[in-house]
Amino acid sequence: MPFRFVEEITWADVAIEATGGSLEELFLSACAATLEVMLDEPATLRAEERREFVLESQEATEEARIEELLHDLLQKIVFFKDAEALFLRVERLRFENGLTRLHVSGSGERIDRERHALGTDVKSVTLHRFKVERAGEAWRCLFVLDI
Amino acid sequence: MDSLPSLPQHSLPAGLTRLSDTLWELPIAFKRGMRVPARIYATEALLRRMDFAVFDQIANVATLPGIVKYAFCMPDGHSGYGFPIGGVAAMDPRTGVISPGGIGFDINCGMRLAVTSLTLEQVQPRLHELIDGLYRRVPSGVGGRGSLRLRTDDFLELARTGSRWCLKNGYATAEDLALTEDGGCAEGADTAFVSDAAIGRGQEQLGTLGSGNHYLELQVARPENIRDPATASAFGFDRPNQIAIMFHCGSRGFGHQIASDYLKSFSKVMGPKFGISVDDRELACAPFDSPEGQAYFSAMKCAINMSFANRQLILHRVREVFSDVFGKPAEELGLRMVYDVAHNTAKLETHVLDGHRRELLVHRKGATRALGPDAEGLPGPYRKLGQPVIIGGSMETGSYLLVGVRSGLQTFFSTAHGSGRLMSRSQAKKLFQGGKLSQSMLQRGIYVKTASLAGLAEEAGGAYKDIDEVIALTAEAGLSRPVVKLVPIGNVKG
Repeated sequence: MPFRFVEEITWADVAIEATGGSLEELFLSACAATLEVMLDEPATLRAEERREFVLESQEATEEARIEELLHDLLQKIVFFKDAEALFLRVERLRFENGLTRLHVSGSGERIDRERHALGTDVKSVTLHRFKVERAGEAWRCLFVLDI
Repeated sequence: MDSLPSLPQHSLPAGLTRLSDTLWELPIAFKRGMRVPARIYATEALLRRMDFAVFDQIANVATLPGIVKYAFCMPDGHSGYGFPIGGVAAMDPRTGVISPGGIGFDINCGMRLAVTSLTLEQVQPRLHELIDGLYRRVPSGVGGRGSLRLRTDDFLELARTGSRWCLKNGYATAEDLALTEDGGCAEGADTAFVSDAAIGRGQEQLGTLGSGNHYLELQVARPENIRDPATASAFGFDRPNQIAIMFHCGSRGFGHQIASDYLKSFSKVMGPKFGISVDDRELACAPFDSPEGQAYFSAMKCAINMSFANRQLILHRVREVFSDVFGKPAEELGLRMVYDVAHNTAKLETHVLDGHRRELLVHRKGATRALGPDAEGLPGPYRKLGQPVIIGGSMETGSYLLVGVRSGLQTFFSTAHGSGRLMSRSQAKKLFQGGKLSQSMLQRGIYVKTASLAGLAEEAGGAYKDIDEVIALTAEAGLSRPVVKLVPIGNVKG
């Protein structure tokens, strides 16, 4: 999934630019990038546990709803890492009701420092330069993870 | 340290004025909306190696409502988000704002230093045993779970009372609390303002280090590195090659979630309700004197307390490991606190402003409080000396114990907190390899245990400014005075 780490934006933290042909693809790319910061070899992650949840946004504009849903989704990955010691790979997404609801499902496994090549802990998804925008026919987003 | 390619030198922004060899000023005209000038502590050489975003970010801080005097950037400043790392801003609590981005996600990230009566000669033969034991007993790295699991009621009590909870439950001594900033408890913490998500993230992480630049180090105070023998002795360094324990961590997921929750809620109300706009959404804020501002202040104090308790629990585990390895109680090994001080907080403090005592809300993000001699709030043994200031350097080069000085009033008694990065994390990973770095450090007498070799590479000494240069600048600028340089011999990295 297409994403890259952007060095020019921050030295202490990690800035990521992700792209996707659709909003769903964009969100999946952003999730994959966030997981890769914490887990060096994400391909080693086993699908031992499943999680499904729904996120909602009541923001007035579509642009704001998209940004809030992406921010909340990435924060949820960070939440599972801390609250359940679970690395979650987001696999399926479905938007509903004019982009006010997002159904999410994914799988993953409990963090095992003997087996997983751990990366760096993500403290939070910042709002610094947080942006989701169209890029021609595709979508692009930029976000900074606090390390 | 492994050799480095030369790093780029930047041109300086237009309008930047040199006030002295160590102080620079960006005038109000530098950026629209600035209410006060911004002041940056740096030599010209350090300034030219700062990333350019620092100037923009410290100028953004100067736009915040209620800021008084100056927006400050400390000598180890580097770009972050919202405030730069090393940012200090004092607000008038009646007219000013409180901003989670001026504190950082890791609320009360801070440093704790303890000494032992052991010397390098006594510890060297047991070094690997000690570090391996610390690595096992003090969980670190992504998803590291604490050895102490509390019921929710107990966790909430800990969040309200901080290190006092540890004392009550046998994880601290009265002296530990006396030698912790604010006695290890921020008064006024109210868990009613903390989300379930924050509790969920923090409850399982008590006694953990985390990762990134967090670490637990065994260090040695070599005679040639004692800069102020009298103060060093008063702080507990009284013999050659004495061993110390330093660690750096914060409020873990608990504080991170509290900051995230309020950043999001402030960003929604700040414009519509309070008419405040900011250049960077990470500077989202609310008037301090508003229900929203007070709610965050109360929740933030819960994170401050959790962090003090977290470092206290880690010290308890350190005592257990030393006791196990040397077969003696920790007190017989002279293992006692020097000090614990935060570098990510907002606190109500009284300062002299234009000749008058004023209560101010001082935001410090990656900046250490550094009270001078005779300051209120200092523990008895240090009252005449000034506050111990703990500045962590890179894991290869060493760290410093300093002391606060009277001239610190220029920055509301704030100083640096680290050495400051010189390059991005991904750039560091391209330049350094964790495995090779670990071997190279071992050859130089530093034994490292890490949960992440990739994380180790990001924290290579070469990725940071020269700590000696930063400390010299800190002293020359009159922000704090070095007492002893502590050199690492063993390190647990997350």
